[in-house]
Amino acid sequence: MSALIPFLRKWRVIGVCMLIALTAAVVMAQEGDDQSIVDLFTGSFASTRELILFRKTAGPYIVTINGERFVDRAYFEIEATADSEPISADAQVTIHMVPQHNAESRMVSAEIIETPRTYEAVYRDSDGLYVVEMSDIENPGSWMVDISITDAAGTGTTTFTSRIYPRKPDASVWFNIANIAVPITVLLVMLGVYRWRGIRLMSPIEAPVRSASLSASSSI
Amino acid sequence: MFADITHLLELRRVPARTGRRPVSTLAFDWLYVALMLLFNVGVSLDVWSHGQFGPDQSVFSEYHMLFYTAIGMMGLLLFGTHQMNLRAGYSWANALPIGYGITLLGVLLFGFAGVFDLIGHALWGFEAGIEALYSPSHFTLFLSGALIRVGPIIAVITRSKQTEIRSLWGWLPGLICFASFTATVSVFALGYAPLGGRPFAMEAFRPLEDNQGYMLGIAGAFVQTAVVFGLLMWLMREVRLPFGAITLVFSMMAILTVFRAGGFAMPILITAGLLTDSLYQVVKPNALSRVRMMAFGFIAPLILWYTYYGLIILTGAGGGTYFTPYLWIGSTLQTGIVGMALGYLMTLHAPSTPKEAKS
Repeated sequence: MSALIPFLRKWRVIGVCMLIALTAAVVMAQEGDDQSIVDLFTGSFASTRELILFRKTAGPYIVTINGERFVDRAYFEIEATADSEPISADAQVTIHMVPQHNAESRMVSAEIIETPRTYEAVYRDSDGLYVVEMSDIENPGSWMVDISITDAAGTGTTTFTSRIYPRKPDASVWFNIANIAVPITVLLVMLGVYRWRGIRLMSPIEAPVRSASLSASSSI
Repeated sequence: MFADITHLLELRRVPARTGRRPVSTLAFDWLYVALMLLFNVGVSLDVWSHGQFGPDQSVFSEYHMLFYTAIGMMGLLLFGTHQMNLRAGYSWANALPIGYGITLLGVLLFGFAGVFDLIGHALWGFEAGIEALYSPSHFTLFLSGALIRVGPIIAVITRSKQTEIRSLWGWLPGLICFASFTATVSVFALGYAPLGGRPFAMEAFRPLEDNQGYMLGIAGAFVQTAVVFGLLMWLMREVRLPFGAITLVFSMMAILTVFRAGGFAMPILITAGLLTDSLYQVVKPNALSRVRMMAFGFIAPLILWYTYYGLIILTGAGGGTYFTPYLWIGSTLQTGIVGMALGYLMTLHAPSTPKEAKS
């Protein structure tokens, strides 16, 4: 037990230092997107834009869809190629969405409130993508999405399912700090109690390195 | 400088314990399991959050903070223990208590897999739907998640072989980890596992083609039988479990499925756990008796899956079942064959007669 005491002291210092460092990280991360340490170094990690939501074959086209799927911010960015060549700027890209009620969805189905709808994708010059804004969807739920593309290579259609999510409520700084502090506190408190009560962490009985009483799988 | 030299000289005075390995106490296991449970809570809440609210808005989400801090503390505990045992005279390779070497590997692998996953998402996008169960980075996360549960299981098995563990309390850390380990190993089958995944036998999960539903439902039961009872019989092969241990493992597995799949599996697993515990007391399966192990392997899956179908039929959960009696009765008997084959395998390399056991 005496060998443990210097370590307990070290661990206490390490634990407190970690708590301070991680708390500082949380507070900095909470200070808004512009100043977030996450954004400073790795902006894309802090984004809710989902890369490659779906990649499907639609007739002669390969369709790649990125975007965001929240009730207050829902859009698809559609990239389509035929024979590795992007479709032209005057192609017709149409999305038809039907609210879906299926067993996979544990959320309130959009079917209850929403109605089917059709969108025409708009070509965006800056990056050569077709964009569909679904700003009129106001309820979370599952949707069956039919995408249809008409261009020089002909017409292609494909179907996929997608969810529209509600925004997660913001967690308070204190809740975030608690999530960091609890494991550190549990470790320090339990070690403290063990030390106070003189409870050993290692058994006085040792095991041989290759124990005959253990099977091969349990001698690791 | 002088302090360092004195310290080194002091270390040299500690008698070397070559060829020996420390064994953790129950107190150490509980400390580790407390952190592991916090890790479990964090991961479960994160899974729930992704199901409800979609992608995170920051890598520093509240639940990520909980489980990454918890695993950080687990790593710190293991590192500190390694250092403590080094000073106590154990060799570098054997300074961690038995079972916890692979656990430390799991902790390190989890850290690597976490970064790998973040980079993968940024470069190639998020896994869509079932891809999340099979992408390389997620597989590494699941694998490391399983490894971090191994330590207390091996520790409890080791102690039970050295000194008899009389109470369920003494078994508890190992059993909690065993249930978590089984649940983690089962993750790959979530797309079709009847308990905790998708119960295709239910009307609510009926696909357009009935045959697809039949096959997925039956194959799911086969796979889940192999994973759950294969691991359980491995444990029985190693040690004699106290009454209540199987109920506890099944209940823990049920709790772990609640966040992901609701409470449907809870009554099934608790009822089947109690019945399987009783079966264990009657049949007494062990590594020395192939017949007993195979008998347990045959009957136990029948208990689980007849409870499963029985509950769906009697309560009409999920709209009842569209499986015909031919299907659910016959396929469940076949899960018994899967269990029986596992029982045979579990006794292959064990001493099968008292004479061999003595030698």
